Amino acid sequence: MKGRIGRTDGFLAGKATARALFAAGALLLPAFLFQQDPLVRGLQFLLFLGLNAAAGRRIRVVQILLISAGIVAFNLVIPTGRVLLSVLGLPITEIALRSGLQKATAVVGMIAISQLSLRADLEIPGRLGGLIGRSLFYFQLIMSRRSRIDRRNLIGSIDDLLIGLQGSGAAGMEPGSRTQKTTPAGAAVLSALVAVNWAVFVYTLLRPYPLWGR
Amino acid sequence: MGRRPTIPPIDGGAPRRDLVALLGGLCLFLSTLEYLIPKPIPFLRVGIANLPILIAVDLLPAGSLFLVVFLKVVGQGLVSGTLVSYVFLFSAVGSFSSALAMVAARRLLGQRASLVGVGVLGALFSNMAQIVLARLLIFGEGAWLIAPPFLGLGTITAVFLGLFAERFQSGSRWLASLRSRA
Amino acid sequence: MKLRPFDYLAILLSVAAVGAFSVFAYAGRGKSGDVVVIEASGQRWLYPLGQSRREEVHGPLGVTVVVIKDGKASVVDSPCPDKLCVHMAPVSKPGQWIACLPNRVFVRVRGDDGQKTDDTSY
Repeated sequence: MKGRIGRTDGFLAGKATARALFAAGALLLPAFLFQQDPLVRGLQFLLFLGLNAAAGRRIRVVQILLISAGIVAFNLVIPTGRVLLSVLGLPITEIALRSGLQKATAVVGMIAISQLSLRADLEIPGRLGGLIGRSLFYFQLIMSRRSRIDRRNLIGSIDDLLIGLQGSGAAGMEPGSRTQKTTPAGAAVLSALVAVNWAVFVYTLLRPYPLWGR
Repeated sequence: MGRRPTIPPIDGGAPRRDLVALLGGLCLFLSTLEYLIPKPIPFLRVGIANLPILIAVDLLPAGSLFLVVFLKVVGQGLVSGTLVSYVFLFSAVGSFSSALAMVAARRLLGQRASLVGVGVLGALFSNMAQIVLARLLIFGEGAWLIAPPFLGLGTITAVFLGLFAERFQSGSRWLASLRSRA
Repeated sequence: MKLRPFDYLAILLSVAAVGAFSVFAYAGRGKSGDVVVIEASGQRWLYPLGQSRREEVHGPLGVTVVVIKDGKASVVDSPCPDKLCVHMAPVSKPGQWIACLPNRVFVRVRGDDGQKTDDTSY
């Protein structure tokens, strides 16, 4: 039995197989992570974010900003490099800022690539895949029954819910609609995406920090 | 010594596999729950998604327990779409080191510690591992600054989680029926 | 619910860990948390004393080389005629300083307690 994830809409739904998407994501990742210029990485992140939004994914802007700000702030704590400006008496130093931006873009960028390349109808082969699928099935089952949990009788109601689950494991899972083939258009989009990002990386090998400015 | 796992495979291990899947799904549910609860401080991590693992320390052999951790971590990554990211790495390192510490604690301490002690030790090692990871990957030297409050809060929440786990363990008919099937 | 003996031990261990990390993070870094301030050509550079590095700073006469090593900062080369700055002792404590007046380079150690005085300089 193979395993399957919940929803079936997503990036290039109908135009590319989930596996192709996953492969594209895997190829994008090194090109993105090897990129040293944080401003270039920022642009790449915005690209992935845009693609995610276009595919219908909800973008949590506040969360992204909070995470980025937090990471940058932590890196600025130990001042390193040329002082760029002073905010409230605290210095913002060049190397610390760059390091913080590199790490922040890495985190949010990886999440964006990940969300882009994992689509609901991705099949995970093998017994492990079956186990993953089954645990996701239980997850959805528990979710659907969560209203049965009573805060005043927390342990008891959870206990009842768990007892009620017994025997459900044998039931099958609803097959979602799966994109069977990758169309030429889909393949073109994916290839272009991967190629552009790798080209950008190679360019920055020859001309380091094009946007950040040495 | 530690209490031996009390669910031997009955027919080809299928019931245990089902239990592993159920616990994995439960972990996912609880982590979603924790994500949805509005918190005063956004970065406060309560870790209720670790409850099934804590309770399962006395239910499953180590290998099956790590399988549950695997399902929890991979499931979270798939559902939230963060499978290929530092988030996943932190989640994986934290959960696995927690489970490792909990299994070791149970083996070494036996019944001289309740799930509170086991949970506290699990949280301690999990959080220390994650701080080291944060130092290396995202925070730099600034990571050490939040280490004390991070560990302190983690210990406090672990105590409460352990107390809840103990209460659940003593009051759950579901657990009782699982053990009696052995 | 009654806690068992090793529960208390586990909690104690955690508290000890919190204590150890506190000392390490807040107190022990007093020295290496200090910051070296290099000023030249109207710019300022900040570096932690705890990290070894070699920096080249440009002044009107040329390049002054500042090296931070083993928690101390020193000038190892400078284009000034008498090289007084090179022979000055390495600095490591807040308030100490080395200056290359001909090349208009100032190196000093700033304590962790803010830099109010920095803003009101020259």
